[in-house]
Amino acid sequence: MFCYVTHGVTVLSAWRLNLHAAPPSAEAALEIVEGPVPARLETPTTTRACTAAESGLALLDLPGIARILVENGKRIVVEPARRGESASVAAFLLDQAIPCAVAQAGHLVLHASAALVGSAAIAFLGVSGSGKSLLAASLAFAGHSLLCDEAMRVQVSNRSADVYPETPAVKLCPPAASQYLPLDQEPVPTRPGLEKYYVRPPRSPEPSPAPLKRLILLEPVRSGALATVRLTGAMAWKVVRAAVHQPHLLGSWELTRQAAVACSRLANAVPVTRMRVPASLLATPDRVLEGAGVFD
Amino acid sequence: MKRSLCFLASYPKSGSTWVRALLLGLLRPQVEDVLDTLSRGFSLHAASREFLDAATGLESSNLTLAEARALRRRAFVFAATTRLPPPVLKIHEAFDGEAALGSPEITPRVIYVARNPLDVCCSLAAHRSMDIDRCVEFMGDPSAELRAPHGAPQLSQRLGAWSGHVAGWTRDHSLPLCVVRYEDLHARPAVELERLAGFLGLEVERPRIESAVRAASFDQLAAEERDAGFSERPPGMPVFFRKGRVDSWREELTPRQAARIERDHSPTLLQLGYSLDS
Repeated sequence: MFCYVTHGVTVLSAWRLNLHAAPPSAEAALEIVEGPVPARLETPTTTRACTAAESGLALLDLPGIARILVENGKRIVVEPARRGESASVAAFLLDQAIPCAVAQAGHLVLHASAALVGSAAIAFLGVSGSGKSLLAASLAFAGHSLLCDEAMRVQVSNRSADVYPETPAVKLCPPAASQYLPLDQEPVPTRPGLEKYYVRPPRSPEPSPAPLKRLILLEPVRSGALATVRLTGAMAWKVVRAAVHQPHLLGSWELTRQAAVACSRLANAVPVTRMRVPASLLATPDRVLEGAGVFD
Repeated sequence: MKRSLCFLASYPKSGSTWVRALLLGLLRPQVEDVLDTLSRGFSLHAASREFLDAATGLESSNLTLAEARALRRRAFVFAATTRLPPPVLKIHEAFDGEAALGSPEITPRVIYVARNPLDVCCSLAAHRSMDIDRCVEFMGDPSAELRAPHGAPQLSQRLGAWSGHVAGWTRDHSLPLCVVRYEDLHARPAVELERLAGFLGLEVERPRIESAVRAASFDQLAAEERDAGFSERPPGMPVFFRKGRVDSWREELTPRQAARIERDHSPTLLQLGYSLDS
């Protein structure tokens, strides 16, 4: 078994994962094991074509890869479709099953990347392909540190919020992957046959929470000038709410209201900026941070 | 009960955005910001990863292109059998057999939007920042594909040649089919929209048809794009709604280019009722 810490949770896993290693612990909060997984849930209250959820459970059906059952935020059971697909299983564990378990445990999880700049976290929101990972990578290779690539657990208190580190590696597609992959690192695809690679920045912070200083919603544009708008009130809340990771599953666990309240508090506690970023500036992160007023 | 799913199929730049705007005017007459509503999910795009992610619940950037394509049939069934609105899916890809569209749980139906390929060529060349000669070749290439890098908002889409695209969607299946020509929409939009509404089983009064036609007029959509932008405009292209005219190829194609398109596609041009007049 492998022992990791991610999202502030100690994980004991039968699969090797690209996460922060932790000393072997008998008190893992989340266990990932191999075992039989049913083809469907008995009384699903949420269904999509390949996912379903009911009280305490979520089922991911990955045709040809695996079925994965997430149980009460404490246990993930994987039934691989065949041997030799461990990298594929690991990719879906990292991006979907583990964030799902963290959300099941009652934590707010956003679809976001984040980097540690100084002693504070800067998080990037946006649709897939908007440049979240690329910006986090460019920051991590410019002397800062990577916190999250796909999912970000946020703990909101009265007037502040903390981010829990997710991973020491960012996933990039070419050409960014070849731009950032250090010469001493072999290109490791996230899955066989997929043009998406793990890239590990040189510095990796301790996997302890960092105060969240700014949420930046990325709207990529091919060209033009960088433009930013500070969002407040309902606009900020809507942006945060739209970033909730796998929100369709929360209703089955009666967590929708809790997540909505957490989003509202987060939008009040942390400045939210919408930013139109020309593609050429995604690799010059200081310009982006300056534009977002991070250094003000 | 079997549910229906309507595929709004077309070769790119044939007028499917216009048809979507017309349908929006019919189904949601109170909407004022037409383009914003179109791009925020009024009609889904079968090749969009956002649609695939929403319908499957999976993070599709972790899927290979073959896996993503294989999962789409399940996504179509989901879109038809749930409340994920609306059951109209825009699709540009070449017809790939009835089995790729449906299942015993749903009955697919097809609206096919066709446009004179000479005008398509001019519009597509501008849209893809391609020179006209290259675009003529592209439209005649049976292996033509709109390629997208992994992780892009849309999956790569197989188009094939323009003639094969038309034949596949209009001849190679027995699904309920309604063919709409861009030029007919241009000449008599209300009549054509009424026909479309009938095909979709919508009972709509004539005033609403006329109001939908006004709301989706070229001038209206172009003005909205000028004022508020349109997220479907490709980067590098000044405007999405470029000319909106019939026969603008006469100003843009050389006689040699026009003759080549007609030579490549003459049987299909004639099948659709276009004349060979270059």
